[in-house]
Amino acid sequence: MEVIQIRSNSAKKIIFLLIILSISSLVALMFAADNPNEFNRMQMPLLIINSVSLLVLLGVVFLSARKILMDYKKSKLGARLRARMALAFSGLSVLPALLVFIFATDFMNKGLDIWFDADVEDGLRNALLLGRSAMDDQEQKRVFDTANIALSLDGIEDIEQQLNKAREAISAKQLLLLDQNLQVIAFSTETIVLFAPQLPSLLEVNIAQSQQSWSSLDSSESDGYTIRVLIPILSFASNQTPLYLQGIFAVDPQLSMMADSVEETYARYGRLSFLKIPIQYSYILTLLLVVMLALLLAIYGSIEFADRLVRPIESLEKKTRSASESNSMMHSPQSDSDEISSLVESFIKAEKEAAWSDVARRMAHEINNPLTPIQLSAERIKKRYASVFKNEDLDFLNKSTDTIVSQVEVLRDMVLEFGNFAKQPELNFEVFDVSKLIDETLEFLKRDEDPFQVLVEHNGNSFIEADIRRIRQVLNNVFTNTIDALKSESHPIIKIITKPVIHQSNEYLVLEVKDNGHGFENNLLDSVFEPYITTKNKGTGLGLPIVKKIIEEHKGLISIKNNKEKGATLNIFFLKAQKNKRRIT
Amino acid sequence: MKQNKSLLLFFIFTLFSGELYSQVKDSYGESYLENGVYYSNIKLPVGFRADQVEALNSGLSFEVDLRFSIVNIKSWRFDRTIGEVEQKYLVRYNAFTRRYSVLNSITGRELSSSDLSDIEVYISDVKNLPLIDDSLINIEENYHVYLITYIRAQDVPRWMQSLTFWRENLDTEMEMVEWKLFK
Repeated sequence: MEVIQIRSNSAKKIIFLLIILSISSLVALMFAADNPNEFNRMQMPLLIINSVSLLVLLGVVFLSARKILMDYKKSKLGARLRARMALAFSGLSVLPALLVFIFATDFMNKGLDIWFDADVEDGLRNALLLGRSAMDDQEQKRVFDTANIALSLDGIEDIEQQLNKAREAISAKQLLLLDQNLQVIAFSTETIVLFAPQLPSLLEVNIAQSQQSWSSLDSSESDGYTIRVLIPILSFASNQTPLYLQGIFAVDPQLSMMADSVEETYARYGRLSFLKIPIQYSYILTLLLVVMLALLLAIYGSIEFADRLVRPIESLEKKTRSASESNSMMHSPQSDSDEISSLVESFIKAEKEAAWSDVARRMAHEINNPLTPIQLSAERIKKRYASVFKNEDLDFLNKSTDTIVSQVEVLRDMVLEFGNFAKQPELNFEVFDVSKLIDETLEFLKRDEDPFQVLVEHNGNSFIEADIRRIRQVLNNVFTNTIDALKSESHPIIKIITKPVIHQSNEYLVLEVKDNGHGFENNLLDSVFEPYITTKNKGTGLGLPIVKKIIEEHKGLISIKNNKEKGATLNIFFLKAQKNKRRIT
Repeated sequence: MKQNKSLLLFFIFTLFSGELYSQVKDSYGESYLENGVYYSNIKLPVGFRADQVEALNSGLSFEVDLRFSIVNIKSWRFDRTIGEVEQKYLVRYNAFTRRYSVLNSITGRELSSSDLSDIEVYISDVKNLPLIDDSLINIEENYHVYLITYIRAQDVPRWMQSLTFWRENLDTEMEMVEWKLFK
């Protein structure tokens, strides 16, 4: 049963890529938040990436959840366990994520409220007013200066000279004489100006007319803070229509700088204050996106995790169900490396071995029972008719009965092997030198006509604690198999090496048996230790399984592999005897 | 039922024609040729909405962007834009001086007033704006000038605008104004 419908590798790769992209973009977002400009630049693309990931994940999670629910409703194998696990793991991630979101939102809102505290706003406004009042003194002084100049002007003749002189006297930036239509009559400036000076508006003129003066603080990008003053002049105007004198004065640079700073802070505060709600919404939405993404990732991970956890158990159940119908027990479940998979594999293996032992025991019993009557009958037939038949008939009788008797012997041997495989003998442990046993076994198996070259190399102490009869059986089987594998070779060589090794904190004695025979076919390598797997014409397929069984009974290890060049190598790890027990027996 | 439909259509027509009429009445543009250059005088109903004024007074600045396109109108083919001109103003409020200022971002000229309507009038009345050189114009053909005006709040990041899409936008795009480059 598959949990997630999107199972293809490419889809998984896309999801994985999106997850990586999302995590990277979230990290980038986090760093960009330190720099407002960078944040502004990156926010949108990053939000788009995260939104796409969110939608994809949402789809995947939705499909997975729907599949789990449907399987659960149909009471499919493993669905209940998977649903419970996915729900439990998801639940574990949902609650913290929700808590984080609620608290983070609350803290953020409180933080923003503190920024826009009424006291801060009042303080800033007061700073502004304070600054203004400092400027007011300067403004009044400039009104007074300009009014004095207006009074001192004594006619339209040489007016520009008069203005120049007056401007220098009162340190004005500009002095302008305007008629009632606001046309410039005369003009004096401290510096060359690019644009025509800003003229007063009608409102400003009206105020000046009614109040005898108008003044204002002004600011510009180029000049900073300035004071503008407008004074009506009646003394030398014709037909009693007034002229106007406009003076522009620079504000003290230090004051100007401070005013700029206060104004900029006030404006920034005002901007933030105005954008408080959008800022709040934006941050909450971003946080929501991040939390949702994290949550969906966690749920997706939970479903995947539950799936991986349940899959071997599910596989076990499936195989157990079908064991009686097929030979699927011969194959292991998915070879994941987690504990549950190992547990399941061990369980299946144990069941498999028990099944084989049972089969072997039954076979031994069923075959052994008729063997003796067959053999006796054959011998009786031979005895009774030996005197009756002559010549060719007698030969035929002898051959046939001999064949029956010899084949019965073969069958009996086979039964014996079945019996050995099936039985659980009591082991009689003793400490002995296995290298001596190897030499003895080799000597026993050696025949003068054999063309084998046997190279033996014993390294270090080779005492093991084991059942010597069973180990002899192991060596017999292993060496016989090796010799059989070399029968077709022109220069057969067997290398036997013993050496001590430490493996997973245990001291072992390794017996390495290397030959230059035909080796194993690759597809057989994984199953050479399984019963009834043989490459020999007359083999029972029980030799190596018995060897493995005995070695495992002794807590040893066994492995086989093909050599790079030719032949195969078998390694047997015998647990070494404890030091205080090492003595020659 | 049929009568209702006719009434609805009439209502919609009246509504839209009224809207168009007011736009036509408020906006005006003309061009003239002087010393080999086409200049334009434009009158626009540039005005800030109440929420924009509030934002302006809070410290946000606004950009008023006038985009002119000079388009060669073809009878049976696609029209072709032969020139584009942009005029940008930055409007802000100074809480210290209590005055609004407008800065022409292209020329650098700056003006201030305590009354926002003065600023609106200044922006609304564009005079003698050079549009295009006469050498680029074929007198035999038909040219139109299109003007689109945008008012955009500065200091509001795009991502914030996108994330608060359901809220009213501070930006405005005004009705397009169109006139012939020459009669």
